[in-house]
Amino acid sequence: MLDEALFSRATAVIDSVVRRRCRTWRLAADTPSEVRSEVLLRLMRRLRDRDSDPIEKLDEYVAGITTRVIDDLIRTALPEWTRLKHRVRYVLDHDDRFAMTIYADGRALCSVPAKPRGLRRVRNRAASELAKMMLELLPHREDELAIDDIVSQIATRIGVLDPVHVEPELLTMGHAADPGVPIESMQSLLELWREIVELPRRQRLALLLNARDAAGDSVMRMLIESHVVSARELAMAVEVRESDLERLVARLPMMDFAIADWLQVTRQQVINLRSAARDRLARRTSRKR
Amino acid sequence: MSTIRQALGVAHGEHPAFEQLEQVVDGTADDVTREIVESHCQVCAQCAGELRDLREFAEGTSRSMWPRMLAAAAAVAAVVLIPAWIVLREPPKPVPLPHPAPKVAEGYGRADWDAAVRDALQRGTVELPQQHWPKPDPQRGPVVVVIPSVAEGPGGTGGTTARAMTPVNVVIETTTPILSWPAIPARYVVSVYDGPTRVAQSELLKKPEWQVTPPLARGRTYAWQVKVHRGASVEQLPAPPAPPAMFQVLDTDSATSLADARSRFPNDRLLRGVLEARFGLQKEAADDLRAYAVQHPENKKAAALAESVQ
Repeated sequence: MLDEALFSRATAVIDSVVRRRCRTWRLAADTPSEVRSEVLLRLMRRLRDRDSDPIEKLDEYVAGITTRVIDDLIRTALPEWTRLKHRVRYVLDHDDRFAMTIYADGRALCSVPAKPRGLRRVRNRAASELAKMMLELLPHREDELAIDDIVSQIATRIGVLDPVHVEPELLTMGHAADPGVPIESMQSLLELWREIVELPRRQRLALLLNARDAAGDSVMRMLIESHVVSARELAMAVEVRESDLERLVARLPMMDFAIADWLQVTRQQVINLRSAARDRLARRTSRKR
Repeated sequence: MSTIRQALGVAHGEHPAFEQLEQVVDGTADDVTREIVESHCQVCAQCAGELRDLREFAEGTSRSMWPRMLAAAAAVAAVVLIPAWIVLREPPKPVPLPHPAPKVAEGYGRADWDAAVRDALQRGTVELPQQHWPKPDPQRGPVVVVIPSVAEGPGGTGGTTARAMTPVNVVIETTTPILSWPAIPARYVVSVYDGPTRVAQSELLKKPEWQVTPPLARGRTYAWQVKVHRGASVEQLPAPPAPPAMFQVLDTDSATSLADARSRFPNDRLLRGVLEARFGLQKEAADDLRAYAVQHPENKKAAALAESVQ
């Protein structure tokens, strides 16, 4: 649980970002509270993650999560608008006539500097058309406009039609901390294992070598003891000889820096690979249910 | 047993951020980011669609926005103007359609490949990198012994020369090249040097070729020589005044890029040829660009490209 002071502080940040980002959309009444719950869930998950570094700037971190949660909500409710926003962002990043600033509180603004930042210009027809429209919408040099606003104005102009009523059930986000996970059958664990084997190599290793239960015991050992998979299969999954498996399992769970060394990537990349593996497994196994 | 699933932390995570999609589209994503985005897109149709749309937009192959606006305008025009036309019998002015974007070779999903191919096609030439084969340090490099003449195989003219040794003064892609030299009735021992250090040596060989083992490091330039054992005498190839036989093993980044290109675009001889040329793989580039020119006889730039790497 979050302590009260932390909860209040986080909630204030979340609400301010929701008010700012969603002011032009007609939200269902309970959407803001759904967003707040999702952000707090992710925050709690992050605070409980033993592998992650401490959060240095809480307000910025919470604003960042809130922005991403809203992005996820919008991309589901307004897919065409989201694609248009990606295109606008692409032009902003590739055309020096524009400047973009993303503030720590999550605000993303763009402008047209009096003097272009450089010589880069988007060249293909679709991007040039979009850049031209953006220039028309940003006539006052140095004035900053929220990227969401410019996207909405262009969407209106070109007739991008998405439903504007954002429903909270369109939130498709994780619920990792859901305590109501049902007891799983051997069959479902076998299906999970088959998906683990199918993971890209680095994602599989980043997941298996580090995974542990609340008591700190390696999942690899649990898999062996539960007879979900054979030692041979496990050895193949982590790319060691069967005869070396016991020695490896004795070293598990492995710290991220050691996995990073094994995979020749950075520690942060190990964390990202593991997150990607978890997400992929969730999507693949939930699809089958 | 639910604890296994919980301990693995299986849960829906976040979709890739725009910045990650953009990096993949631009070809600037590191391999981990690319793997994460691509594997996510395999299980998330929404993100796969967004990635595809952004890629098409960046490549200039997306539908322009104007057709949509024009379609809407045309629909309005149909409602308003057709009755008027029926009455007045005056045909409406045709709506000008946008010209299709010129077909420029791009869209490989990597900005560096797009730029390389576009540049080659526009200029009709692709330059091979300037190779400066370093001269070996006479104090520390491979020892070159003055030997009597060595025949260059059946019908050879004799004389000591490195002309028939391969590879010589080229960039090679493999880390385990096959070295070959003129055949003569003898036994051979091959040595490969990285500067003063011998990094590989064969056993006594009967055939005039040897595949280097262990694999050589990428991005390094190597000298190699053959000691020819004939009876009691030992001769050496190449022998002065011939320059030492040298080759360079393609660096890791270039080899990875090339393998990626071949894997993703196995039939694209143009992309392969341009990349090979830029990496200094002259023979491979010549083969691929010649094949591309044959496939596109109408394209004069294609023939010029093939010619430029001969």
